[in-house]
Amino acid sequence: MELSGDEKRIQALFSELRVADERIAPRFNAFMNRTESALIRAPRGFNLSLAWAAVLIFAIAALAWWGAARFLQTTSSSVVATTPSTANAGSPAVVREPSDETNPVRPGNTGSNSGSKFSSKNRSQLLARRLMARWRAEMLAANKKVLEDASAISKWASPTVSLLSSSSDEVLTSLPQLNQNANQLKSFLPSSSN
Amino acid sequence: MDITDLKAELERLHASSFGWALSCCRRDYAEAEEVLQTVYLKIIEGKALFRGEASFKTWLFAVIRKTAISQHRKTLLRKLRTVIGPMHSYDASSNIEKPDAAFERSETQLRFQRALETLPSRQREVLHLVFYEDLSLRDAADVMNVTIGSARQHYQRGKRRLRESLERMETGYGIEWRRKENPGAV
Repeated sequence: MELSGDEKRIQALFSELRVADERIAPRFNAFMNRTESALIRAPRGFNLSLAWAAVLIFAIAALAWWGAARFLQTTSSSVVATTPSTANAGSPAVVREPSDETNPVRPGNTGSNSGSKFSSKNRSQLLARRLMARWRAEMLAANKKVLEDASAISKWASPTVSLLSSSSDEVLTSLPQLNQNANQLKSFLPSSSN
Repeated sequence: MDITDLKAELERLHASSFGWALSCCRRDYAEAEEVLQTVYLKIIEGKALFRGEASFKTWLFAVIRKTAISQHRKTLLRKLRTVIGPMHSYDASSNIEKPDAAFERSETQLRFQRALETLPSRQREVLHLVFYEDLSLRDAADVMNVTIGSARQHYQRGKRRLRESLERMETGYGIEWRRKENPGAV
């Protein structure tokens, strides 16, 4: 590379720096001995850090597992609590939930589906089913309210209906029969004495 | 390449490697020693493997540069921890030059080093690799893991900036930078 004046100057400065650095550089043999002795000591420190990392990862995983299990437990109990009240509404539109919704699969209490096999896919499916069950329960509650309102309207009576009734209502609403005796007929006829 | 050959190569390039490590560690002697030791450990343990894709010097310098960067990051974290919690004692002597390491620096050399410190790291690195280590721009680009075009830009800008910086400093000392009679004079 052809060097200009400035470049020559810079190179001269770097050369001076290089000479100075070579003077202070550690000797290779001593340096390599120190490196090799460090190599003998190195595995202990490495293992220690690895152990710390493993403990940390285990703690985080355990915490995450516990949190997930707790979340599933709370959601399943809330679904179970809401479902029976809606099922007794007597409405024809009652939809029965699948058995595993009222008796949810939990990571701890499964038989064949052990905790280790409780994959995230199963968990998301279970969560989706629970959300569906909750939505159904809400729909049933809404239907029940509509039915109650309808029956209340059919049984409605005016508050002044008692004022319209009297003791002579029977006379006004009934007719004498042909085979009634005279005494009984007299009660229907106006008095002839006048 | 077996371990004996590796050691022989390392010995041959030891002084240059230390100079490069010093440059990567902002002239911190203790940190440069630590970096170089870590690099030798990596090579001996086989964590850093030379595959012959570049020259051994280029490969070694790239390993030193990467190790220095990660070491610098660790040092920063250590310093941060020291600031947060004073329980950990910080080795304050790491930035102090060893008494036997202190060499007689001329005023020009001191100004030059101060001017180098003002340069961005990429520009400083490329200038060091080209002028100090006599590497070509292509090799310097390989060491720095940049394209040759980028290395050339850093080189040009670094030169200009270094010259300006030195001119500014030397004007303060009443020394003329451009000596027309003898441009090569130090």
